[in-house]
Amino acid sequence: MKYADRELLDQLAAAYVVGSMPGRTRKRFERICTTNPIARAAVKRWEDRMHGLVANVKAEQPSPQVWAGIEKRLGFAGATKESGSMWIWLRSRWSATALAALTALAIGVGVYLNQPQPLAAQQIAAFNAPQRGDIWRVRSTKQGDKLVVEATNRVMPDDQHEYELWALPEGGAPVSLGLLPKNGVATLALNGAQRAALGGASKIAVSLEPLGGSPTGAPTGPVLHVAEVTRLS
Amino acid sequence: MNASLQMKTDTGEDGQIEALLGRCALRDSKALSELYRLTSPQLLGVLLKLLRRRALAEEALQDVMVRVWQRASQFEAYRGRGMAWLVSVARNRAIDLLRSQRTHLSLEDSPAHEIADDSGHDNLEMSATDKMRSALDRCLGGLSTEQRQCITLAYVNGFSHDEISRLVGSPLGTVKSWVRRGLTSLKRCMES
Repeated sequence: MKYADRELLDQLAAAYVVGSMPGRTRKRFERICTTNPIARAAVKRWEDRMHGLVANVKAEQPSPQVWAGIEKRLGFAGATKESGSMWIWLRSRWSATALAALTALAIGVGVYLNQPQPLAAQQIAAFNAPQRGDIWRVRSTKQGDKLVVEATNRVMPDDQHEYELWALPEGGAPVSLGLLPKNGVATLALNGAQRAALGGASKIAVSLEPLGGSPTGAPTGPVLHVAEVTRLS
Repeated sequence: MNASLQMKTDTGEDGQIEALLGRCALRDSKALSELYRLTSPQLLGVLLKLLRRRALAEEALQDVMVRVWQRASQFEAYRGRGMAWLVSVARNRAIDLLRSQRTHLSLEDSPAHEIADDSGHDNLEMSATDKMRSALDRCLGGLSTEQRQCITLAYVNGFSHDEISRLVGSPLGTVKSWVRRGLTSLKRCMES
């Protein structure tokens, strides 16, 4: 079977999305999708086309046990009832589940969740894509007043958007650290609030924003990457 | 949650759903809780339609939310289409369960007339609010009744070709042809 054939891939994607494909063929097509971006794109287009068909399906309220089961499976039963944030959860309920979940993210270089570090230490992080390597590398100056960001050639070119960098301070809202370069190296000067946010953050993130950056001061677009911050003493 | 995203789509929530997915990628468990509150009734409705049995559908809903939490960082999967992505995760889970576990079909759980009444073309007209849905609505209307019914039985109700063949009382080859040609026409129409 010639899978490079776009038309054939499109027909397979249609059968996959509609659900008429037999189980074994379905699994086979899913494997193709993991390596074939044309197949993935075709599936997305069919999902979008067909989505309206379920719009009128009658909504059903789940029983309370369903959410309780989800909380239990993800290991955060009780966490969402507390005033504490996700970071408290991460620190107090570090578990195999959480570890597995985080592994699914773009992980940076190391984890220092349990011990807030002084800001003076140099901080480094890398945003990377599974099996593709680093996209951006971020390090702070020893004084902690600037970030030096290097874009690798894996940054996806996008003239219509900005890539915005955020500190994710524990227990607080994301704080913008500036716009990331799409190529080359850029230096981002940090003000006091940004330094404090970064000092209290164990993670940083990249979101996709309109040109000029987030208009609201909070991430408005999808989060593309999350990386752990490693502090070097 | 992020109040700056207010793009309205078919659920009226899509911008908010995307923002919540973004927060899930940041491992914010409250965001998952909020996402669940907003979307679980619709997702359970979809799952129930496919899986028929409430206990199985609720179990699948748990699988779906766990999967969403684990995959929320795959932004490309839902950029601009939060609810469509969630529905696809739910449908894929349900279809996997159907294809792997169903040994025999209980057609009596879903009488043909009920399916036809419940998911037919007329209902779609009531809430066609966005461009894609309007196009789908219009283009479904251009299909033959058989094509439209077979596609709906597969997509909404999760029936395989073989099951649809038994349900509508037409030969398997005919059903396959209706689905394939219907989808080809649908695509052509929606791209025009």
